[in-house]
Order: sequence, then structure tokens, then C-alpha cells
Amino acid sequence: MATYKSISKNFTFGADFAGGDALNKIASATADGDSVINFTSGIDSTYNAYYVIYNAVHPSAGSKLTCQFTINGSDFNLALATAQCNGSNTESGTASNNNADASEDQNDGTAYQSIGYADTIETNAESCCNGFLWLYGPSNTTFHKHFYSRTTAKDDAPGGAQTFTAGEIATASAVTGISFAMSSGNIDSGTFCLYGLGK
Amino acid sequence: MANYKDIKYNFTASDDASGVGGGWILLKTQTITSAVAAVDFIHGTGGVVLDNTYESYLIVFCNVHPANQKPELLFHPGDGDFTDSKLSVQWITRMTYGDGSVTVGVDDSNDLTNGTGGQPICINVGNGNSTDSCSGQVYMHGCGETDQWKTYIYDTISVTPDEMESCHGGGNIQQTGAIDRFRIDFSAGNIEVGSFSLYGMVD
Repeated sequence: MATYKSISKNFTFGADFAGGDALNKIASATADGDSVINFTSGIDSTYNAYYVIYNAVHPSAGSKLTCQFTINGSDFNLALATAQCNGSNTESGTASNNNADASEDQNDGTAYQSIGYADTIETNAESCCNGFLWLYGPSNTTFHKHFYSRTTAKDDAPGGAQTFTAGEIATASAVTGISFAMSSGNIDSGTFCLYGLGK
Repeated sequence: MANYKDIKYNFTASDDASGVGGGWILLKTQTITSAVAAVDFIHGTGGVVLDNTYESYLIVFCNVHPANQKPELLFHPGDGDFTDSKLSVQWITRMTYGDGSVTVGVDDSNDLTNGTGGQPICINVGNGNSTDSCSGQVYMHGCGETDQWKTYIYDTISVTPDEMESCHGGGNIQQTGAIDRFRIDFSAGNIEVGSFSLYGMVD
């Protein structure tokens, strides 16, 4: 049983409290051989903007990190319009800067969208990807939603790569969840943290 | 009248307070539900803090919908007015729905070279569909500095009936005096709806 001492300072600040943090952690998940990492609660009208940070995401197979969204908590298959560009540099010094990658874009597609593209993220021990994703106005029921992510990764060039991905979630319904998966295989390890920005 | 239970944890943490979080501080949100020409954040007005309290500020805007078709969303930082000169560069990614083509590249038509007008941070914001709007964020750095130019960085997404477009850019505010305000408006017509939040990022 908790002692009074251990819980005496456990409380929630009032609505008008000033000085706290507007970056509110909602949930986190640690992957361990998971096919998907889903956040299906906590995305609602509490916040206008949500922010996901993913760290040290390591695949079980050479693959890309992808994401999709849901309006019902279970079907991650919303129509997306996306545009992506990538830049990379190999360990031998061959740089490729900010190239459009139409093969990774969707025009009303419902597939998981790659956000960590790096020819493929390798499976050797030091390979992983890291980045962040912004989700804007998911609870709005008038407008289509927007997201933007940026990811860096060690790829199979071998080298480093960065990815910018911007997209439209073509639904006026409230988006209530986000899912992350590798384009093939599982997410062997990695952490995903979901935050809401106070409004 | 509020009762004690409701307000007992409403207080302002002192500068030396610890253990209460405080990395990203919400300073003010303006939610537009009926049309306005512009949204202003001015230090000392309506609770806005925009000085040397924070080294970096973050502006997040969501689902901003214009009265006109395809205006630019403009960002006007300033030090007493909204006309400080700026030097900036921008690049874009664009998905065109009709043919599925993708454009990635420099967009020098929206760069400013000592320009005193607003910085286009979203371009071609649609109102042709009721679902069109734009969202994104702008970082401002060193607003309270009085010996250096200030900088801003932005990443945004806008949706039109024809395309989804993402703008990425940054620039200098060619001003050594402290920046104490900014304005966001459209290049033509009003802001019909949208939310704008200003955060201070604790050093």
C-alpha cells in the first residue's frame, strides 16, 4: 500500500495553473517484436496539435517506418495525399540531397505511409531511425487533417538519410488514432511517445 | 463563486520552482470562429509574453481556413509594427491530385530579400472545398536579443481543391532591436476560422 509520504504530492494542477508544461505526455509504447504500435486513445479535442517522437526504431527486416491513421480505433486505412523528399549521404561520401521520391507518395491511397525512408533501414545492430511527427487538428470535424514528419535513419547504402513527409488525411471525421509499422516485418525495438500541446 | 476545491491548485510557479515541468509554456491561444482580418500577438497584450523571457518561441496553428481562394498565409514579425525587413528562403513539396505528380524544389517566388511584407509560410491555401485549410508551426529565436538579428523557421501544410502543399523555410529578421510582436494574416481576404497558439520554450 502506498504511504502518505509517497503520494502526498500527487495531484493535478488546476485549469488556470501557470508555469507548467504545455507539452503533455499522453502515452508511450516500447516496441518488442511488434507488428504495429498503435495509439488509439488520448487523441481527441483536448489538444489542437499532437506530437509523436520515435526513438531508436529498429526493424526485424530491412524496411521503412510507416504510419496510418484511424477514425474508429481499429481500421487504419484513411485516404492520404502525401509528398515526400529524401536526402542521404553514404559512408563513402556520395550525397543525394532533397530528392522527390514519387514512389513513396500517395494520391488518395489508403496504405501505410512511409515516413522513415532510407532505402531500407538495416537490421544490423547499429541501424535504426529516429524522428517526430506532428498531427494537426485531429478532432476537427470540418476540415481534412494535416501531418508532417521528419526522420533520420541509417540505411543500407550504407549511410545516413533524412526524410521529410507532409500529408493530408482526407477525412472530415475526427481522427482518433495513429499506427506505426515497418513496411515489412516487425518493429523489433524502439520507443514511441505521444504528446499533446496545451491549448 | 469558485469554491476552494476548484481553485486550490491554480497558482503561478516561481522562476525557481522545480519539479513542475515547464519545458514548453503555453502563453496564449487565439481561436478564430468568425472572420478576422489578422491575428496579432503583442507583448503585454492579452497575456502575451514575447520578450527575453524565452530564447525560443513556438507558434502552432491548426486548420486555418481563408475567406478567399488560394491566398498565402503571411507571417509578420516586428518591433513596434509589422514591417521589419526579412531575408528568407523556402522550399516546397507538392502533391497534385489530378495527375498524382509530385514537386519538390526551391520556391524562390516566396523568398524575401530585404522584404518588409509578410513572409508567406503557407501558399495556395484553399477555400474551394469546405475541408480545405492549413496547419503548421513557426519557431522564432532570440526575440529579446538587442544585438543580433532574429531568425524564424517554419514547416507547414496546406490543402486546396487541387493539391496538398508543404512549405519549409527560414529567414532572418534584419532587426537588432527586440521583437515584441507578430501578425498572421492572409495575402487576400479574412481568416475565417483557425486556432493559433504561442508557446515559450524554457531555456
